[in-house]
Amino acid sequence: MARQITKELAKKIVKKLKGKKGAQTEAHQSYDVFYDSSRTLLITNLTIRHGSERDKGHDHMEDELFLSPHNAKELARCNLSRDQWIDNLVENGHLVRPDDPAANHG
Amino acid sequence: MIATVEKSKFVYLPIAAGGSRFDVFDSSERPQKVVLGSLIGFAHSLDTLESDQYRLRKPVLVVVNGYADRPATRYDNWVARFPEAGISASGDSAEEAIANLRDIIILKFKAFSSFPASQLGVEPTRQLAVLRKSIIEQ
Repeated sequence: MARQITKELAKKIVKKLKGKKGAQTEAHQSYDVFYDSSRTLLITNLTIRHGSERDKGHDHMEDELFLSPHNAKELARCNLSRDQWIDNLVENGHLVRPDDPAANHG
Repeated sequence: MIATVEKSKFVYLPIAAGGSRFDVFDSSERPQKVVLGSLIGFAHSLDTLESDQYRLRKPVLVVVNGYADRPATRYDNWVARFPEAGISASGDSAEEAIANLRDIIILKFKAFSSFPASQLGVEPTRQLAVLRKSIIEQ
């Protein structure tokens, strides 16, 4: 039960999901993750703790990714692709694709 | 986290101070011999965001979990969760995780509020609704 997601893995996840720098505080930098490059739909917001330690714990990120700790780690390790992650979110009701008629919920 | 753990892999060890401790075994091996780690958890009432700009309408329930490699080692990996909003934060101690949770609650509120509603996905929309119900901007 050592920390599952270190800062190093968290940064890999942000890069893989094409996170864009967003709001920040003294303690955290956030990254907005969009459905596509046109930034029409915000899927989630990931937060990374400031500080230089590469092994700083980021296990909170599993909640931001809507994944189990194991799958969050798989995402960082390239065993789960960005598209597979999005498919997973849709399947579990965490995301409605912009081109889905259900997206026009008003 | 406690609600989602696979019960067969955990041995429940009640502790003092209103929390619970679980020792984590690999049940596919020899449960009595292989201890992978330990987690501890407690509920906490968050009364303030410690911000001049934002305050809580009422205290919110947060769940705090600490993890250790082995039962005897120090719990140095903590996650504080505000389950209703689906927001959590990490820290090297329980106090740091709670302080970081305050920080992330405000950060997410600012971040989600900066987008038009039409641009927010299912989860950010839900999270912002909970945050608007919980936070007052002064």
